[in-house]
Amino acid sequence: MAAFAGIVAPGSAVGEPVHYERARGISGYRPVRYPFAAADSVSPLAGTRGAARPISEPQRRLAGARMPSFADDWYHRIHLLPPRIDLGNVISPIVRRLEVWNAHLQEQTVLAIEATGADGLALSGPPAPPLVFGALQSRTYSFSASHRGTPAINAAFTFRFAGGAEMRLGVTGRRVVVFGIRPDWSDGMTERLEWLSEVLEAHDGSEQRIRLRQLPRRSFEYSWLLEGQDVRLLEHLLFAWGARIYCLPVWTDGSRLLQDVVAGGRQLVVPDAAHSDYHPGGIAVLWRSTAENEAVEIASVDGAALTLTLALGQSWPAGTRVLPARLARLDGTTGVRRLTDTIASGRCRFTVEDLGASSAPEPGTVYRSYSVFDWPPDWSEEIDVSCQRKLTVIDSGTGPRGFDDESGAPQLGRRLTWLLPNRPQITAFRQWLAARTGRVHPCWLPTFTSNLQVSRAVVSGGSGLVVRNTGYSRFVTAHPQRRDLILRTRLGTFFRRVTGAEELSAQEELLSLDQPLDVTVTVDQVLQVSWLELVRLDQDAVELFWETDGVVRVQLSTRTLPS
Amino acid sequence: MAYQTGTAAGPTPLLDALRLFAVASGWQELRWGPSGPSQQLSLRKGELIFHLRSALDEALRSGYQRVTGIFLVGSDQFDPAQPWNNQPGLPRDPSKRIEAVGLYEVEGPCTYHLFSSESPVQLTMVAEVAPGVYHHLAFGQLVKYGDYPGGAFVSGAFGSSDALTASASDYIFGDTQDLHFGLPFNDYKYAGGNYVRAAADGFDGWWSVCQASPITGKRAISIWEEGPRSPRETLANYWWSRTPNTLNGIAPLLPFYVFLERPDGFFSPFGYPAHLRYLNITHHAPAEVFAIGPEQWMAFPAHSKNNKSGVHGYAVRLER
Repeated sequence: MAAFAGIVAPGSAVGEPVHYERARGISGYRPVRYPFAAADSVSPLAGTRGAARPISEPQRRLAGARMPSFADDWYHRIHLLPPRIDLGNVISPIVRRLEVWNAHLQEQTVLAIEATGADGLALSGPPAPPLVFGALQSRTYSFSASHRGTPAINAAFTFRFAGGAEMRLGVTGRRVVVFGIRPDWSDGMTERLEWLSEVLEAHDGSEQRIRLRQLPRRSFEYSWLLEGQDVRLLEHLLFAWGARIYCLPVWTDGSRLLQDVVAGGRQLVVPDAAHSDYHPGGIAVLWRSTAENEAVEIASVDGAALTLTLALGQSWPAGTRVLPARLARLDGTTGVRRLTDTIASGRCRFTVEDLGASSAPEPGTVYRSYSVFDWPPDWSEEIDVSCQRKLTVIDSGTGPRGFDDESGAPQLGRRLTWLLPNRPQITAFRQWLAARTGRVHPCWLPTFTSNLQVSRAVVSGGSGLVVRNTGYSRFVTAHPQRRDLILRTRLGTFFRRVTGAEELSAQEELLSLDQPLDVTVTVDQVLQVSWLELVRLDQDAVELFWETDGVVRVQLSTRTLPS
Repeated sequence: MAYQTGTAAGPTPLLDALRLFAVASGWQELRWGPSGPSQQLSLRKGELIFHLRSALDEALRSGYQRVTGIFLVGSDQFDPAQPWNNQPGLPRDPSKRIEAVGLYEVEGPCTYHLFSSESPVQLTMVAEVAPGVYHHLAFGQLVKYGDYPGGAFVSGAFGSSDALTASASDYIFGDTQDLHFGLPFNDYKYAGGNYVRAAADGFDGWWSVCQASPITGKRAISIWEEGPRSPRETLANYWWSRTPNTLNGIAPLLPFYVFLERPDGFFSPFGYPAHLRYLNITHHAPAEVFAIGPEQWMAFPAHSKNNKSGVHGYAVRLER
């Protein structure tokens, strides 16, 4: 308790006023003099004086509850303004203001600012943490985004405060521009897949094949025909973005939304997604016109449902085209032919940057450790067969020439064309093609021709095949390149190896099979007997020519190997 | 799962979407099965039990008009032997007839937004039943101001039937631009489309949030009740007249306070929904997400922005 030295000063005496006029009704008066009361006449005292505060007051306790108000929505928390940054398409460096407001009535300390996925993004301005924000203090950061970095921006800056509170600034955007110029399908579209391999051939013709490229390079080439606003848009797109990466819709894999999707949604239902180029981490494009489109990143694919990494930026009605997309660069020169002042045509070639590999198993039956590709070719195009020898000519120039058949076997080459009429078949063909990896991995391929003609029924359990005499027993007799058969019958298809042959007569010869058939097949039930050849592709680059977005024509060269 | 959006082709698919979302959000599915031409759904979370039924041009009961949408009621217990509309402790009128709230006018495909929140529990569905027209359903538990029995609530865009009127007297603040169809806890409407479960003054049941003529016999109000003397300003109007902030364009959120009417004519504060707020949506687009500090909210018009509901709207807490 504080004590003060003090003194009580005496009051002054109250005297008669100098000028006064007494009321007539008052005959006399008694002047009032100090002290007015006995207590006032106490002599001044010296000593200490004590302070007894606080003094208790009468209290009344009431039970109640606090009603919240909008003040609770604003104070006692940290504000990030804006709370989220959507950069959209980043085509040049972007700078934004970020205000961090401590709306607590006490100071708060930022211990750390943690960034994730912030490639090409930066926060600058106030001093580095630990940094004290006073009560109700606001600080302004400068947020910058470079146009160099990951194509899809999905970053977060987390402000960690003492006491465990944290605030997260989400940053989204894209560093790609959708090349929304659709193809002119009258010219079709060419997709090119390029593997790279090296084939080391020995003196006897045997090979060692080495795969030199992990993933095939992929490119698209197509023509376009545009008019009006689209032409102007294309010109500026080529002018400003020509050296950078575009988001190229895979026009060959397009489909349409069956239902409306709304802004904020994270799911797309895409018909035929299984046979399209959608994959986790990939991009899908919703397309309505050259200018009106949106690219979204795919988090996962479950059947026909695509779950998106980020919510859709806008709503799209049913019927909107939806396509998978790849990051791609323009390759070479892009020519634009002006047909009139508002109409232009041209052709562009893109090389895909984000390459992917199919993990699906290749289709088809397996025979002797290799798959059988038993897809009949398109007979509207002839099948070219070439037969050459690994023949060395020894010519001294002065005497007769000598010849050395190094491998002792012909090198058979075929050129076949397939027409793939629907998406499931195109997908299966792609898987088969991916398994070949260019010239590296062989497979079985029938000749698709009637090489032998069965002349007698093949009985169940019998391992002999009697055929019309074609000279097999005389010339070939189970040669490593010509000893496997495919028997197409009404009762099924059989793959067998010829282990020996003997001539029965001038009209017939008997081929011994490695395994008997388990059914009896009459001559009438035999459809076709073809040689089955172990072949590899004789090309590393394959072109798929898309007649439409559902029909593909492809031509392949093969080369026979010893089996 | 705390938020989901999608599209549904009609009332039953819409209810199915709510069912799947609720189960994914921790609600127990007590029953999902046919009920007449439609489906009935019963959900439980803790002691809260709610029942919903899709309706295809059906009336809740005789005396009400036919609607197409979803009915919502709450109850005390679940009796699997009884249909959704005969469960123990439903909202009933003094004649013991069922009352419900609902989301109607679901005539075709609609976009829905589903929200789930905890502490206290609340599940909200907002559906865009026509371009720009939003209706809601919400159910859960209020934050109570004291340790009172009850606290469950059901909120819909409509009461037991689809009665939208736009008469000259049907506005909140004495101005025809203040039409307010579909607002949660709208106590300006007679009868009302919201019920609060409470036990007070000898009544243990569902209190009707409305202006007058409480349909269950007991009345609760929210923030639009006028004062008894001039100026007869309402709590909402004092707030409304100052939003959005003319300085920065921000519209503060106002909780939907709920008061129970006592026998002496006065009102006692009872609670408020933690995850719903009254909002002037002048500067917000329907279904727009905005942030307040670490929280995110989604703005919706009471009915249709700048149309039947002017700029009256509400915000739902968004967690994802």
